[in-house]
Amino acid sequence: MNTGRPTDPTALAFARGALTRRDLLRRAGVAGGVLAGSGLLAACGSGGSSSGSSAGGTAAAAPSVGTTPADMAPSWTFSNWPLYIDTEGKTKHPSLDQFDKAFTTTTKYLEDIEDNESFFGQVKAQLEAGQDIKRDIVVLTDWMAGKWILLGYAEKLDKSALPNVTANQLPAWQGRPIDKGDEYLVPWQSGMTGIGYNPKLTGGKLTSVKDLWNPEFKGKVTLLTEMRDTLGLVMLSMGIDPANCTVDDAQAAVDEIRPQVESGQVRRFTGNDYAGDLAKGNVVACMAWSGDIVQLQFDNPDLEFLIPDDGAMLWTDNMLIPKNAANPQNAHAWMNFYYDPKIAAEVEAWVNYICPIKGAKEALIAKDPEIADNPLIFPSDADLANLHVFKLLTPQEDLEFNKLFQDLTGA
Amino acid sequence: MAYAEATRTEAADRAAPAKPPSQFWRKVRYQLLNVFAGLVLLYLFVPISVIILFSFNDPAGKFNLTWHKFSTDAWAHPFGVPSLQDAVVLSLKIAFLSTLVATLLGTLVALALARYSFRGRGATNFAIFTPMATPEIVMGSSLLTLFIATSGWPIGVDLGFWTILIAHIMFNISYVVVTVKARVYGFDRRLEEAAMDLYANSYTTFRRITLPLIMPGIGAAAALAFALSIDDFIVTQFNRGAEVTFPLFIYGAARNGVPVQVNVIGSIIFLVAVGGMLLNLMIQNSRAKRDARASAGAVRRAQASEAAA
Amino acid sequence: MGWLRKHAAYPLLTPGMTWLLIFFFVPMGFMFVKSLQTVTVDATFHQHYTLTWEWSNYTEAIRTYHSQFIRSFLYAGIATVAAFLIAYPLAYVIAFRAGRWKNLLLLLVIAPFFTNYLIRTLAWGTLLADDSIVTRALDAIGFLTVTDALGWTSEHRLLATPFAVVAAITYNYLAFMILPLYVSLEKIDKRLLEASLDLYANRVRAFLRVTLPLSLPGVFAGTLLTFIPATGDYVNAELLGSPQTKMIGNIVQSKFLVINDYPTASALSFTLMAIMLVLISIYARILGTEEVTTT
Repeated sequence: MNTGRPTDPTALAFARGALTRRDLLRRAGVAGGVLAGSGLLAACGSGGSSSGSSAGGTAAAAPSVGTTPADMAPSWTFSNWPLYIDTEGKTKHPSLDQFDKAFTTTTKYLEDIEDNESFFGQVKAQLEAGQDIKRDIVVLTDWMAGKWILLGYAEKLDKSALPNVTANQLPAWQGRPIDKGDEYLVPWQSGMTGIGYNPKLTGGKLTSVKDLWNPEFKGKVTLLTEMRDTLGLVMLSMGIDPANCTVDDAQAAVDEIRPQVESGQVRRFTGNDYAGDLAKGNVVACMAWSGDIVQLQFDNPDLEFLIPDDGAMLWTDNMLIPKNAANPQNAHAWMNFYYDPKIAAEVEAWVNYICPIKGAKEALIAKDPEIADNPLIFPSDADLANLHVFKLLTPQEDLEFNKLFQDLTGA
Repeated sequence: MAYAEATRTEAADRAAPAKPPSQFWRKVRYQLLNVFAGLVLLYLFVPISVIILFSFNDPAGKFNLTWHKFSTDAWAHPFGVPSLQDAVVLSLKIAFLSTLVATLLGTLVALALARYSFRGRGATNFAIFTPMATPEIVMGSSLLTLFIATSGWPIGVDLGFWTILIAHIMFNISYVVVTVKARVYGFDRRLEEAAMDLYANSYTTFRRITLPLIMPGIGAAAALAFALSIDDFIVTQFNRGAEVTFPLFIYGAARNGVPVQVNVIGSIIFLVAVGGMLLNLMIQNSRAKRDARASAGAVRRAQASEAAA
Repeated sequence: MGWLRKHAAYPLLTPGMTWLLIFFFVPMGFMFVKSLQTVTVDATFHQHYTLTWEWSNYTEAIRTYHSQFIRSFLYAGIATVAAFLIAYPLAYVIAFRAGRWKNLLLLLVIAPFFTNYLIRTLAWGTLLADDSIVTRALDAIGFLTVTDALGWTSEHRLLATPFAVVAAITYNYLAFMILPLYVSLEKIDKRLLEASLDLYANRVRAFLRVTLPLSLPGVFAGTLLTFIPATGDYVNAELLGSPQTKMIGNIVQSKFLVINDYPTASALSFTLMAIMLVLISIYARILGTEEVTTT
């Protein structure tokens, strides 16, 4: 659900010529149509609830925006998660630079989304009052994006301004329950939540979420603050399908975790900040996001990512235009620009998550066939069968699930 | 008998060591306190040294947590991170403005409290004291409740720059009042009376006598307000909407690796503050010396003229 | 003009006090009202608040979070005592033994607190990391074994333990303890001490019977200025703590800013405020310095 790139040794090393592009691509890669056949993403957020329908949101027609360079506003703001775009040095973003040049505009790129809930809390009051939150694109995980659509905080997209998206969006990402008509969201990246660990420190390979409860790792394990990731993984380890879970299932998962928290087995609940601890060795095993581990491997080559035998969680982060954004034309132009396979490949080479754009995979593989071996970006069919999505919760369920989880994390 | 005792003690004295043990231990016990104080002073500076040290670090990844190698890159480009620059600028703006307004409002209140007796004096004192006695989280959260509740009203303010500013002025007023009040209390009113005897009206008296004399207090209050504002985190976090001040930037960056530039800017603020205080100290010292010399000179001249007369 | 002369205080007071009224006292009222509301969520995730005089918000909140309340007072209390023990000797030395170095020493004492609060706390995170020199040294001398047994640390590490949180709180609020202590110690007439020594008191007795009582206003101010913000603090617990060290501040912050459960959050905030006011008045009465709000 959440993604954040805490380290960029890659970019640093790359920028200094220490890494060749080949090395980069060996570790990185793109998984595109791999997921298409699984129909998994179409099921993203499906479940027993019907609230993913197009109830809510405004009934107004989508504005039509021109996206030629002449139409562009001189500057616009793109809010994203940290390290979720190609980065050279610490602040240059080649894809954005190319966009700026092609469309004679200036992109203000903010990496200020650290956590879905926290970010929402910051801008909620303004959105409710119908104000421009001074961001033209925000990137939100599917469940939060769905919330924004229902709340009426998302602008409808002008499809005519997004020919690349229409042409290149892989079928797996189309027509999802949170956005049936693909009218509000444009997928940015997909990823997996599993276990990140250091086999040297854990004394061997791990196979399951239950391995996190090994007393030898006491105080060196962290879980995620993202409720759907943590409870989802634990449910899977208990044989419950998160796509069809009930409040009782959530309670059961919480009860499973609680003794581990109280005994100090779990050091703390983290957002992206597990990365530093993991790389340093303060934490030996934790719930982690796939792309992070690939990038952390530059800091610490021993790290590995595990898709547990019982299953891992799959999620998508989406670009969304907030209501009353000042520069929707720039936003549309960028969305369209990003869905060019060449550009997407550039971003993908760095971000190392799962790319929703057709043709990006081919573009990268053509340069480095070896990346096909990277299981994190090209999960095998067996891995795929093991990926699950979390149920799309109704507001009432959302409240109850969150209450349970907050009791656990002490929030 | 006395003679025998006397010779016995003399003998004992000659046999005794040069320094009685109790004296030595007393000295040790005395110094113990100083040593402890010195240790505390050292302890105070431990994190500061870490901060300054790590501003010269070139971290391997994005986390500036382990020493990797020495580099002055961050010092060469303190604003290399664009959003950091915006945050620092915003913090400075708000600190400057809130200091201005709070010092003005607070000084007026302090003058009223220190000079006049009026009905409601006790209540005013209580009202000034309460914000200082309230946990920041309570102040911040209640202010947020106000802004949210009034967001639909015509006079409602949107969460952002103005709400942060309002909050900062609010908590600064009390500190300004207390600081200026102390200075006004110590102020010798006979100077004002003397001025008025010399046909100055109240306005001139205030401008030429009172104000200059309480100016150090106002200056101290302004410095305090500025420091409080630029460092404030809790109250700001509640009322910021989506704006990012310097402390908020650090908080957000802490999860994903605080850039080295943050250490640089922190060090700069520290050095500027210490430098300013040292300067102030030196100015005060030289002023005191100058005054002492002047009065000593005056005394000598008076004595000389007396002697001559 | 005569009225103005007689009542000159009022125009001076008005701007400042109005500001405080609107932006400190009125919000308290709003928060109180909010704490009595109920929030419901509709099918589109919109929240609606209705005033239902829901006193149960308070009872529920206290019932659910009483351990965090107690923990906050405990941590703040320990930190205050520790700060006092550390600060008093230092303030004493500067006030009584520093002579002409007084001001310079004072400057050195205040200087560290001119760095940003968060950077300081993060620096402690670096210092107390699992593999840092400090942690390893403490482990080597067996300190961590002792604290592990006491439950202050765990697994021979310092981060994400109560020890780290309390230590950081102590450090961060040390200036608030040192300065008032220094000010009141400095004011003491040294001749009183000399007099007591002349009257055959040894140095310890002189301290206990003369210096300490005379420095009480400073003790009072210092402990208040340390304890109050420390209780509501959540930054240290968040950056250096674990789920077991969550303080009431963390709960209020999360409920306000992340979960947006304003009624419960307001109730918690208001309760905290009320408890603080009660504690302060009791403390003032005990120390006999009721005139803290006047002067």
